[in-house]
Amino acid sequence: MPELEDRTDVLTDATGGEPLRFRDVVVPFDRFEIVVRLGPGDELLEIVEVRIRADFRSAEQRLRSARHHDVDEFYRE
Amino acid sequence: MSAFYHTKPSGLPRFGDVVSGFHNATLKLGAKLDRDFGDFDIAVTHPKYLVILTPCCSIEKTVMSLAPLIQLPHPVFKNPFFAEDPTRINRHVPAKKTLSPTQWEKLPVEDQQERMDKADGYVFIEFYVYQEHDLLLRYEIPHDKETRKTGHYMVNFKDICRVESKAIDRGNHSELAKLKILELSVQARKELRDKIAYYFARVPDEDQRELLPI
Repeated sequence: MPELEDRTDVLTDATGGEPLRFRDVVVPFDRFEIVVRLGPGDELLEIVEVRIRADFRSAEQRLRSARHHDVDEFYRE
Repeated sequence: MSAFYHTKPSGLPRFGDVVSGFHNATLKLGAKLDRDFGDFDIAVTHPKYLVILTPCCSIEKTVMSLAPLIQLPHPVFKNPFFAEDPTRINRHVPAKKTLSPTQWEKLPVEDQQERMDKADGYVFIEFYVYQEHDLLLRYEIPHDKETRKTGHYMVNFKDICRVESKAIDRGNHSELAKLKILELSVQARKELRDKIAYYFARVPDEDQRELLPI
């Protein structure tokens, strides 16, 4: 499940107007994921999608497939 | 407000609850260790907030595990992906988002590719972040030569300590209920359970090699 994926793109105007830059942000909300589209100033343009955060794997299956990225060295105080 | 916290918390003590009023003790040994018991100190602190890290069903008579709720290390906020929502640290993150864009661009291409080849995964495996809430005091962090305020806190799985009290009793939880501040939503508690399980279940490479079937 692409849980925390941002998508940056450009909306072109069919009438030849100025293209609009936007990014889609996935906001987890309880058992749902809300995909919101934000404009250049992070203003809300629209709600693109509301989907269920369905993960049908068992706790053991989730644990077996879990991984981590070692990034601690980049965040030293 | 998102559904990070339960909107109608039960009076029962639950795994992941934010509580207050508990002392926190750390046993500190001297630099030279001795079979005949060397010097030691016991450091007692009084954290404003703590988190229950005993699984719900195991909060029984007199014993419970707690860890203090602490402020986030400010370098975390240098990555805009985490600054926008620090609770992303609790879930799997795509490789490219684990670093700030500046840090990512500085990586050699081979290093970038090696990281991109990995599936989405956790970062800061010993941290679990608690979302800001009106009941949690906000604090200042350095930000672009100035400061900004945040109300996000985190628990470090390395900080777990044990407390004993006759008031810790799931059957009679009236005393404990007085100290409860917040309860996680079912979803947030699942994420805490998954991450702490991963933290303790990691198998070191040298063990993994021996565990492989011949």
